[in-house]
Amino acid sequence: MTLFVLFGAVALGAAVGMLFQRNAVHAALLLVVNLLSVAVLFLTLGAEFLFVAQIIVYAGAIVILFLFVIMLLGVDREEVLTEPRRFQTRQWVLGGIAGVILLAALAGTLGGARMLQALPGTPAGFGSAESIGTSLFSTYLLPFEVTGLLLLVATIGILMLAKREPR
Amino acid sequence: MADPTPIPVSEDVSAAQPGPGLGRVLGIVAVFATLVVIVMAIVLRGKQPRAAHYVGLSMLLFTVGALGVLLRRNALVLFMCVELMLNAVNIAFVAFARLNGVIGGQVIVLFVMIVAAAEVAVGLAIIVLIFRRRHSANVDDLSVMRW
Amino acid sequence: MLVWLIPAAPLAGAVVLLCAGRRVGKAAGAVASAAVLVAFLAAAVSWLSALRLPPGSRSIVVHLYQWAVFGPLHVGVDFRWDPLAAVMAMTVTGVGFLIHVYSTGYMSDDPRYPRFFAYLNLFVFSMLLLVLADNFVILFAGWELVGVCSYLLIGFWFERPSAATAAKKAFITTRIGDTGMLIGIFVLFGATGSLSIPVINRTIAEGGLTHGTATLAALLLFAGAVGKSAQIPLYVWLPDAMEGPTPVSALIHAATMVTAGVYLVVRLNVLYTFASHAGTVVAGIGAATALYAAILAMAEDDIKRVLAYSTISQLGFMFIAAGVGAYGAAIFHLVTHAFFKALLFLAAGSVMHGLGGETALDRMGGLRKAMPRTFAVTLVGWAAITGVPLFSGFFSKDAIVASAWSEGRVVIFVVAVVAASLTAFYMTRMLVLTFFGVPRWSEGVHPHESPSVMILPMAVLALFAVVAGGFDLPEYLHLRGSGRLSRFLAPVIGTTHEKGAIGIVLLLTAAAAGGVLVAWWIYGVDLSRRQAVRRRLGPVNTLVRHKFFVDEIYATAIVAPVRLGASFFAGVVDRRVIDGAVNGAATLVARASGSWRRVQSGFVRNYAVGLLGGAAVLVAYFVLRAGRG
Repeated sequence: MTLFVLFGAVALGAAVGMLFQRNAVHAALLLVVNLLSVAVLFLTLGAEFLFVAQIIVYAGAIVILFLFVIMLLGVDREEVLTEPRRFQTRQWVLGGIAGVILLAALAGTLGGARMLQALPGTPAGFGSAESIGTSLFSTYLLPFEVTGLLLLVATIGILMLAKREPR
Repeated sequence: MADPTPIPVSEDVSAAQPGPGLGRVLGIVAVFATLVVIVMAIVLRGKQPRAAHYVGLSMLLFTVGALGVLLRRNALVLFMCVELMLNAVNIAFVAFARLNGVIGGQVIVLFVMIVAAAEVAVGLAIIVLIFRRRHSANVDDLSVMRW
Repeated sequence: MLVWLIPAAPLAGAVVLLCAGRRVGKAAGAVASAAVLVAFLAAAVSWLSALRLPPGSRSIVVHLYQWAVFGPLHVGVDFRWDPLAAVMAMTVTGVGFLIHVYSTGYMSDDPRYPRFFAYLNLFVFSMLLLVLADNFVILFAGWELVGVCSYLLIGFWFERPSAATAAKKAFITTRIGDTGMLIGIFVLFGATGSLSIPVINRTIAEGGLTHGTATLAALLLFAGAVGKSAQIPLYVWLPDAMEGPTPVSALIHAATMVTAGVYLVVRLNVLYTFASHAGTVVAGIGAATALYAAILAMAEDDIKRVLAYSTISQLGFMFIAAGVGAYGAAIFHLVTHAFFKALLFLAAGSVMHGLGGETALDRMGGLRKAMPRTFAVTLVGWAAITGVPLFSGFFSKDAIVASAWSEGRVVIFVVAVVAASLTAFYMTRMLVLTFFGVPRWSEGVHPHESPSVMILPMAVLALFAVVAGGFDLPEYLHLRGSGRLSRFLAPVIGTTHEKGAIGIVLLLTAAAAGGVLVAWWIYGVDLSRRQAVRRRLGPVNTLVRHKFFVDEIYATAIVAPVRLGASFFAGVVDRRVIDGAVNGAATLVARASGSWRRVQSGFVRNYAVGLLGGAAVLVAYFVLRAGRG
């Protein structure tokens, strides 16, 4: 329980902090904090493999990619780093309204009896690499292969996009 | 909404305002987190967290991410908020996988991560291209496809 | 049998000339005349072969093909060849052929020569369609087609605004009658369930029609006849129709189209005999028109218009006969009138041709020596129409008047006799003013005789105008071969016993002689007496000269309000209401889309707001639904 409370709060705090942070690099760092906290939450739910995968893939690769691009575009440039604080009122209002509606709507799902029961225990090996791997190669084989294809396509696409025109 | 501005000229670096320092930010975050801890302790009252709590947390994170998408103008930070939303959904999936004892929930999370990785890579490549041409990472400047 | 060839030949001629007229060129006249000749020969052959059959079985139906089937109603292209159809067909094609030949000479200078003959052939086809029809659909089709051809031919010289107006007037006026006729057809169909004439006749004979319905239908159908045959009150188009070329006036407005109304009544004699009140109306209108038109003819100064009013008057005589039930006499007069009226019109055309297009009687005179052959044929025609004994008109008019007397219609009898007298008067007037007396020709006019191609047809017609009396000699003369036509037509029209007497003949002849003498006295010597008479009659003269102002009355009472209504509907309703609605719908769409396109602002964050809002609403919906369910 303490783990949940602690890391849940950190995750939420980092998210809100990201919302208000003007500096892009600081925002990226707060995102890392958030991702790591979420990884711990995975662990509390019994998803050991995902705990590791989250750290390696998300925090360790995706956010690094973000930071690379920030630095590529010039970390000393103001346009990249910061944002002007103009003309935001309408967005705030609309966003606020939408957010409230969304939250209220989603909250409606929380009342179910099953949702409020204690979490059931899990069989041994639930969430382990072995169990995930087994289902990946049996039940979910097709999506697995397709994601391989997806990554290939993405790689090729990025290569094409980022190629500099020969002068 | 901001009017479409011409491509901004790079300003003098010395006049740059990097905003509040990282230390200050962390301080604010710590204060906020403490408040949240207190609230959560009250909500839980010593019991183990239920599925409802996990899903509730997921909802909150999702809403914060959505607001971020609406309110931030820097394209990169906008993207980061999208990742935030994806993560929130991942929490919900894992919670439900635990609730129902189905490993499929966790497998989906794995796929989400994979797709997010691919998506971030491509998206960032596009942002780089746009920045090369316009020298601005402000999404409000990208308003050519209008009526 | 060759019956199908009768309408087919002129139809083929019309199609050929309409499509390839320009290439045919000067041969168009020969082509068209040949087509009509073929039709006449086919009719004659069919008539002869029908004669070989016993009188009771001389009716045959030629079913060409099934045109349309509406449930129990089968509409086919059906022709009926019976004595009545034979008489009508031979008259139409025979006189038509002679007029075609005449036209090759008369219209030789016209730039649209082939088209004229195309229209003439088309007309002959339409008229044959009408007289051969065995059901109302084909009959009405022919009826309307002759109206169209009349319009085309009256307005043949459409560069003249007066001609175009006259064509419109003819078509619209007859249309009014046609509407009544159409409703009459509907009534008959509603009452009998069939559009086939023999079926309708059988239904009436078996008592399947009430008196009221029959009278209504008969009167409505007669409305069509009133329009097409120029009776009161729809006669106003015929005098104006003289704007068309003279052969057109001869063929359509004397011999054939205008007789379609008479044919209709005779063809439906079963109906009109059953609905005897309708018959009385027919005879009454016929008598009134005969007298009225004769009065108007007495004051006309245009040679063709005299003949036009004369036609209206003679048609009235035919309707008198049809109305009192003497259908045979009506057809007899129809045939003789076709001969002598066509002859008179062609002669008028010859006079006009010789005078360079002059139509005013005031500028004619003394043509007896300059155009002797035209004079000769005109004299024959004059004798026929006036009722000079032993000419054809003498016998046919006597048949009509005698039948009126024998049916006990005294008023109609008196009116007819008076009208006959007036007929003699105005025809003599026309003859004298044209051919006798001192020439009153315009400057530079040198009258010359017409070419043989025009004289010959007239001569043939003159011959028939003399001998046609022999077709139906009255029975009381006890001559061999009397009543031939009546007996021939009996299977169609029933037998009538005319109780004519010598006394009626003498009365009629005396009336005619009186008219001739008075006319000779006024116009014969010089024109001084004419002036004196005109002064004496004063206001009466003015009234008649202005045709009792009927055209003006129609214009203000009927035409003007219709015009006003039409301009209202065109200007206000069509432009403002209908166009406004249609354009307004378009403008509405344009404005709406104009404002909606602004949603595409190009700002990603606006779109994001929309996405988020929409997603929130959807989630709320599903949550609420799950909550309730």
